[in-house]
Amino acid sequence: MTTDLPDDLEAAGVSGDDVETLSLEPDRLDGHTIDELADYLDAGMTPADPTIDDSPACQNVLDALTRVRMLSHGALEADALDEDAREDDWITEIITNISLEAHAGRDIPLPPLKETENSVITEGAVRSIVRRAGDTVDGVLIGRCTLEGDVTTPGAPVVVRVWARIVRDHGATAEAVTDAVCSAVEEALRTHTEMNVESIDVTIRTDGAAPVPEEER
Amino acid sequence: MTSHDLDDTARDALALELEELVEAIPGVAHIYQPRATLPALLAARLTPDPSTPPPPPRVEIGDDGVVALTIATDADSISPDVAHRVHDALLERLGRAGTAVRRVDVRIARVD
Repeated sequence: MTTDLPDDLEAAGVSGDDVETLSLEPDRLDGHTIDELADYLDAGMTPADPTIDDSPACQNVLDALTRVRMLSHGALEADALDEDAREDDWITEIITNISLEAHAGRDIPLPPLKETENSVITEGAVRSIVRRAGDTVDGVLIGRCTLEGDVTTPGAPVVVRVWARIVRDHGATAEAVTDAVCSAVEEALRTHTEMNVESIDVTIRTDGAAPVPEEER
Repeated sequence: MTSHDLDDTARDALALELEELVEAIPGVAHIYQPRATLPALLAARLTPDPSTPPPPPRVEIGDDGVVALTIATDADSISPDVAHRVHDALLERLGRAGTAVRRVDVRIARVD
């Protein structure tokens, strides 16, 4: 498996092999690998496995995998009819990132109303919120998202970076899709966090999007 | 009374009561097992043993007066508000039980 890395990881000296190793490291997914979770999904999540069902990281991965499968299915069908079919590297890349981002990460404080209150939302939960919000935009899958800044300090400025891909082309311009992803992510973050979001930077890839017939739009 | 004064049975009973209380709070989708119990859960899955005790309560009441739990919130809720409600409900219930609380740690690990 090869992995195309976002520029920030490459700049940090992280190799594709490193990312692959990290994404397959069971400790990052509460004792499970991404392959095990994919198999569990294939089996209809039966018999129930409490070590998966009771793991927020695993549940976040299962949610994201489900959305990737639903949306990529149509795109791969279109590829199959295309003589210049793309390889499914982009799916591999997205799945790798899903497993990288699902672990809990940093604790992001929710400002208390009383002195006995110490509430946080995990970075993994927030990344999952961002991913889900972006995936709600027609034809779009979020490839990767990062929270940059000291999210553990209340009020510290945070930059949210999102890399997304148009998988199925519904006819909207890249600019319109970018705006839609940005709005969806902004609303989700405003609802579920109290981070001081300075900006949401969305990068959209449009190459190879499978066209959606007019009658299906 | 402090949580230090509770014996294990009373502590577990109170923790289970708190679980039910939290599960009934609007916006709470799930309460997770404490992460420390994960190795035991994994071991039980690999080598099932009927004599294995049931997992501990999902609301931890520490000797130091810290009550901790990890939850998922509903996607259509407002997560910070849910956290406030959980804190207030636990504080009120523990106050009625005469148990001193120094801090309530609510960790949202997933939005469902």
